[in-house]
Amino acid sequence: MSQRCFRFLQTAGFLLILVVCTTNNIQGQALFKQKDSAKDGFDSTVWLKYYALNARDTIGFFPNNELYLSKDGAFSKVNIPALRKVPYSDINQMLDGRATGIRVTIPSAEQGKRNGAMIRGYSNLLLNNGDVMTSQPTYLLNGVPILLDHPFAFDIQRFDNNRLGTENNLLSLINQQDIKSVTVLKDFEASAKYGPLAAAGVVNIETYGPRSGSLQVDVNAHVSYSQAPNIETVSGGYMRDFLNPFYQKYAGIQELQNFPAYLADSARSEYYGPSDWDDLYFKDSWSDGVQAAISGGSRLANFRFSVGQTSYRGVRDATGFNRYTVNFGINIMPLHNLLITTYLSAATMSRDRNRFIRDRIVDEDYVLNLEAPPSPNSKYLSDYYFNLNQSIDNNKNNSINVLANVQYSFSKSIKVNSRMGINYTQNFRDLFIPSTVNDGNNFSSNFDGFNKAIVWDNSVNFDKIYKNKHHVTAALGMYTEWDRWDYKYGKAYKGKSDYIKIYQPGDDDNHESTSNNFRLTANAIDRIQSNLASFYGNFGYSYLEKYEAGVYLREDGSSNIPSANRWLLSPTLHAAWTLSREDWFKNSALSLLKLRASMGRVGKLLPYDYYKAGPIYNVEVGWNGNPNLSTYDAFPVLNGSYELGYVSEDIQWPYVDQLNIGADVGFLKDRLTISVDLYSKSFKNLLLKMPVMEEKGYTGVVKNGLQIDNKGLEVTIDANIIDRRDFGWQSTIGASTNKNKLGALPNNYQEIIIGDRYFKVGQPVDAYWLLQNKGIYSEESEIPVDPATHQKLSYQGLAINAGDPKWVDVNGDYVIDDNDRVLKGSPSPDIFGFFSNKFRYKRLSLDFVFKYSFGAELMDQAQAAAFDFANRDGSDNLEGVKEINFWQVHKGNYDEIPIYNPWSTVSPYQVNQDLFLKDASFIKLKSLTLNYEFSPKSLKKYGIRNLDVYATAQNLWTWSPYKGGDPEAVSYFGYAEGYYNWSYPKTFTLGFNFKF
Amino acid sequence: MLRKYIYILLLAGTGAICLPSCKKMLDVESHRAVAEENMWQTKNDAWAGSFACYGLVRAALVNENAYWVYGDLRGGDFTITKRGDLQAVTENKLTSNYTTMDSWRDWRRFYAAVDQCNVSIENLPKVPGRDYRYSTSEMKLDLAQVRVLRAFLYFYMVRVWGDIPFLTQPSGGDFGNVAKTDQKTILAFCVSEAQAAYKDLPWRYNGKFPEAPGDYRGQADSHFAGITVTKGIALDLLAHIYAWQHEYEQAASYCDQIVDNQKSSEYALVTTNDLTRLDGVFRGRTTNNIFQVDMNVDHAEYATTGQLEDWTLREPHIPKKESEIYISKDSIIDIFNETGDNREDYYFTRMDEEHPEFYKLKQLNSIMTNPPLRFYTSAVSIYRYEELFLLRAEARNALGRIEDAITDLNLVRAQRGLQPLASPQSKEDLVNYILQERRRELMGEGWRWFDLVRMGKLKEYTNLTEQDINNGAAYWPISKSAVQQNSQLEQLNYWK
Repeated sequence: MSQRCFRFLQTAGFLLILVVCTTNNIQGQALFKQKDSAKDGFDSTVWLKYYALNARDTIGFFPNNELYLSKDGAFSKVNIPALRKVPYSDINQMLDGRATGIRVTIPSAEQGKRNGAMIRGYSNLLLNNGDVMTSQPTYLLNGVPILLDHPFAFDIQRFDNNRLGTENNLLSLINQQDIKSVTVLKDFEASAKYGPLAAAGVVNIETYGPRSGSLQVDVNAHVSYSQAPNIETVSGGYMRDFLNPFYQKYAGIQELQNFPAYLADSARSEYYGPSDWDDLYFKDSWSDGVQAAISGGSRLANFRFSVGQTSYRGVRDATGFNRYTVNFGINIMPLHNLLITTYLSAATMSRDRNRFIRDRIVDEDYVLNLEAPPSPNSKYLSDYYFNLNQSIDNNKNNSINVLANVQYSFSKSIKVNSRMGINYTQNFRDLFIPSTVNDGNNFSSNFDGFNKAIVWDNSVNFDKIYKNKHHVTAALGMYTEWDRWDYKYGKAYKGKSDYIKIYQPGDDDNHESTSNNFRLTANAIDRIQSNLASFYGNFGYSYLEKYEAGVYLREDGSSNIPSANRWLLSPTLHAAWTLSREDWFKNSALSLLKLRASMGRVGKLLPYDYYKAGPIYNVEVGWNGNPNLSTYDAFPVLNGSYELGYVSEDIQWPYVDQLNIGADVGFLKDRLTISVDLYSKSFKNLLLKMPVMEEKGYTGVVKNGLQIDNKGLEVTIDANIIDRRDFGWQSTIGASTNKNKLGALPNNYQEIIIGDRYFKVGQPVDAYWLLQNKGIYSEESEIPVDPATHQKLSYQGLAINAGDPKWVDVNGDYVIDDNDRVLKGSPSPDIFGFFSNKFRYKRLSLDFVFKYSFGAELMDQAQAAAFDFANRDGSDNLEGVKEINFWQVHKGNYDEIPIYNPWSTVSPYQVNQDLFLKDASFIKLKSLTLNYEFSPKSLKKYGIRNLDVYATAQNLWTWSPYKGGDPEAVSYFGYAEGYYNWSYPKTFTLGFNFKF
Repeated sequence: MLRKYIYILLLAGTGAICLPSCKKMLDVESHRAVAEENMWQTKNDAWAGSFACYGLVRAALVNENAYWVYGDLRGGDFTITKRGDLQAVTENKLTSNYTTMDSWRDWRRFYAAVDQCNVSIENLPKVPGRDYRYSTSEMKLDLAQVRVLRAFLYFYMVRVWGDIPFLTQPSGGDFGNVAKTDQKTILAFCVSEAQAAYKDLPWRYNGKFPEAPGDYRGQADSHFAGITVTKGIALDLLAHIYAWQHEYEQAASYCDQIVDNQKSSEYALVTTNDLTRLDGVFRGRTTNNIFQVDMNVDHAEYATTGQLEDWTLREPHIPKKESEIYISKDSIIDIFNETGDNREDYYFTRMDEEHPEFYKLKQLNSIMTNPPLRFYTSAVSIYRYEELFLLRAEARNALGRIEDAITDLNLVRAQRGLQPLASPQSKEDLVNYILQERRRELMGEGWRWFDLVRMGKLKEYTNLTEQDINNGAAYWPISKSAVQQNSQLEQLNYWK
């Protein structure tokens, strides 16, 4: 209902704009005729330059922070004009395969779901999903950080899977057509001015701002068709045939008795009938988007206003999301030297989530009966879907961004700037699951949370050129940021009726509230605050634009660091030499040669707020499967932080040191340019919970001292190969490498085991820790016997028998255990990047982008799970879940996996062995766009400035040695989870960009 | 010139405003945790800190159903349907590779509870001086409870792991390695602690005993019955510690002290119906239980895992076709081999099917049923009155007081519809009768394995040899992570 209403309002608003702009067109032009800048399409960016406001500012600055950004340093810019014709639903997707130095991880192609990116390697050990959330780069929207979701709600969750709340991607709240530029800032010359926000890299997003000139209307629209993949479905017979060899070879009476009940009776049409579930699950889908903007004004006051509506529909399980965006920006100049800019944007997105049983179990924190998978037969399945459709899953994020900037120029060279920004995102989810699909008990919950960042920045800036030679810039300022995450969550089991879809919390006096028994409800509230105060100074000098050098000094204080260590001084130095400007160089074949280097340090913020006063007490009397009990015999409890870890007294700032050496080279009047960056980025003094002697009760001690070193190379080659009037060919190749290693551990430890991960100083931090598999012991006689003790080879003391795997006994002690595991393979590619081309013939152009990645490995967890049925079938945990997608042909090298005894106590099909390590290299044709640009001359008659019509195809082709699925669609830790990891569907888009 | 001044003024102004406010904005207290310096200041801290000891004891005992894995599963009376990890326990393959097995081998949760006790014992005495609402006498009562809990924890751990590291001081950031201590020393400490705490504990929390005058923590007796530590619990623990070391003289005498004070404690035997019914003994808070680790359903203390029901129940009681474990028909016939035993009917259901359902524990509270929600609310019954008489019978028999032993045994047998055991009996026969009675009576209550160990019956009922037992086979192996982090620990020979 509300959605339709919104759509109506949006359409109405859009029509209104059209009316306003056509009637006001003449007036707008009249307003603007007075001054020198009265040219059509005159951008206020240019206009601002007349005021020589080009000193180095601090954190981003509207209307046009690009103006103030250092043009130097290592950064990678996405080709926005090309991107405007390829519909993507979030910023990471836009960066994926279109910029160097950033690796995007999208575990599942569920549109609008949270995903991840990494700039120049690992900023922390990724041990769980929470670590992934806190390791993300900073995304700046017009200079204000987008405060991403905090993992703190995981504290009350049993499963480390989806976090409570919407799990929407906050980077989906920006309309693609509003984006003017997306830049990945990599070295500290480019990013140190963002201080601790720059630790894990910065993605700077700039939207179109107000412009002066006659009124201009932009309309961008597209419609997309996504094609459901072809799946080979199977029914009970296939699964039985898969299991039979194991039963024939190894099963005893007990195992035979436990043959999966759903497969036992081949007369059951529920499982042995036709398998046509895909008809209900997959659907070709249509997505669309329309966005309109109007901008213009005089040089004293100008504006831009835009609205947009976009839908992204997936092809699986009726997923997708709708988004509405509004942007408004205004620049005014009330006094000669005073410039005021404001920018407001609001967005709302509501997402239809997948309906995996696994995800439902995670949401409910209640394991459903998993003995029988859903039927592959649409006759039975349609009942299930009918019931499932009675559920409610409102999954909505609303966001507001506000920016106000006041700048006063005392003279041409001195100005004072004050900027205030707010980023506020609301996270709201209403969930109701009816009893009919939930073992007879319904479930309702709601989550209401927000993220809020307020930033305030004041600076004095100086910029002057002396004697036309010496260019001096300086800045002095202070920066403050207040971050806060908050949520309220309530859930209730076993509501009285499926018609009551909300729950009303009862209380002590009224146990039986109208909806749910008070005792079957639970509520939680949590809050984290993190404040940052900084002072900074900047000094830059350049001689004839040939020699440049600069120093940036910054002092940061964080509320999350103990007061004794609160302040961190971090300097950055940079220098550049443009050789091609030297007289002696001028006749060389090179048209450009610039060498640059930067070296610096920034602090890294701590995501949690309890590290500042030594040991702490909290509530941790739950256990596996029930993490959030908070009372004993109804009395609240407070205990040592045994689960969280003992917090050392002396927690200090973690920080990042980065050295970057780069060169920009141009040949043939810059028709061929090469940009190379070599970096070394070390994250130092990071916190890690170090395992300690267990007999003190703690799971570990939280300490500084972890160091991760990243080294790498980034190359971008741009070639304008053919550039004729009627025909052109432009080609870009981007390549990135990153090698990470563990630099140090706290306490000078050389190695550490955390869960099933092993970390060794000098080794990669993301390597898998595996047993090496060399086949199978078919006969008892093949099993080696220790000549010294006459003991047979064992697995952790358990005898290995015929039918068990042949694992390499690395240390030769005739016991296979963790000492025989080796670090092997990792989810990091050796080299990855893109290859894009643009062909132009007259007004027709063809753009296409390949993405490639070589040298990454994945762990085929889905395959291991299929073979490990003996331990998983019907077990009461997430491993026992079978989704409807279970009923499809096994893809990959299933034939090559030996037939082990699946019931053996040595767990022959454990995933962490190199049997399941697969090469995840790939080449993909990401997108292909055919565009026709109408001639401006012929359009002018109709008062149209510009019209582009395009057709785009996405995800057309993939090559990979991995046959089990999409090699890119794996978890953040490199584990392929089969049908849980969706790949992007083939999508075809028609659209236009229209300007008048 | 003027501009310069304005400029300097502006800068100074901003600085002046900012600097003091900076400190304020950066001093943000955590909303999620209490810093050390703010703890142990008030009565609420003392209450929350001391009850956290109970909470952590509960977490340690029920995590992955450890209490029943150590006690019942290893004892071998239960048959496994298909879970490999449970099968491995019954086959004594305790080094096998399952995540659950890791947590059963691991004692960290027990030591977390110990540490919380150590911290509480150190800090509770400081609180009355800081908060006048928390009287010294109330502090003494809380302190005594915590001391008994700590003794209980150490005694339990010694039974599971044998010699273990022994810490009685809070850790305070010192994580230096500690070697194992001989279990005799630890048990001697447990005895002295329980004895010392005894004098500060009441028999009941009904306000009639000088040790706990008035309503304890504002709640009536029924809120605490069997839950918070009493004289009875301290004495029962002492009896068990002595029995474990085969010092049956003291064991019998502590049992006597409990029985002789029945008027104060009001302990009573329970009918089989009340034992097994919903809201019976396994809900507890009755005079039948001496010590239970509680789940208070009225305050949403329930769990999907951590109770035996999770493994034993099945359709139609919960939506699950097959339970994880059951007692096979052969075993039932073997164990309940005497006529008149009314337990067979109450303990089992669906006897006509291939696998009977073990139906002794079934605390699916009425609010969770129809259709069932798999949240269980049963308390862990540690000690109850029948068990006390069986222990006394064992002690008296060991001391040669055959007649007295038979009297105690018959008391329990009569309760279950069995004929009184004829007198006289040989000492050996009587040991077997007592063991058999414990097996039947305490089935599913975490006793079987420890009974076999204490009564020296391992060789009879398992494949372990004398040498295996000497090598530590009766204990659990120490977890990998514990061995890795403490260089002074050595794995038991049997598990190397």
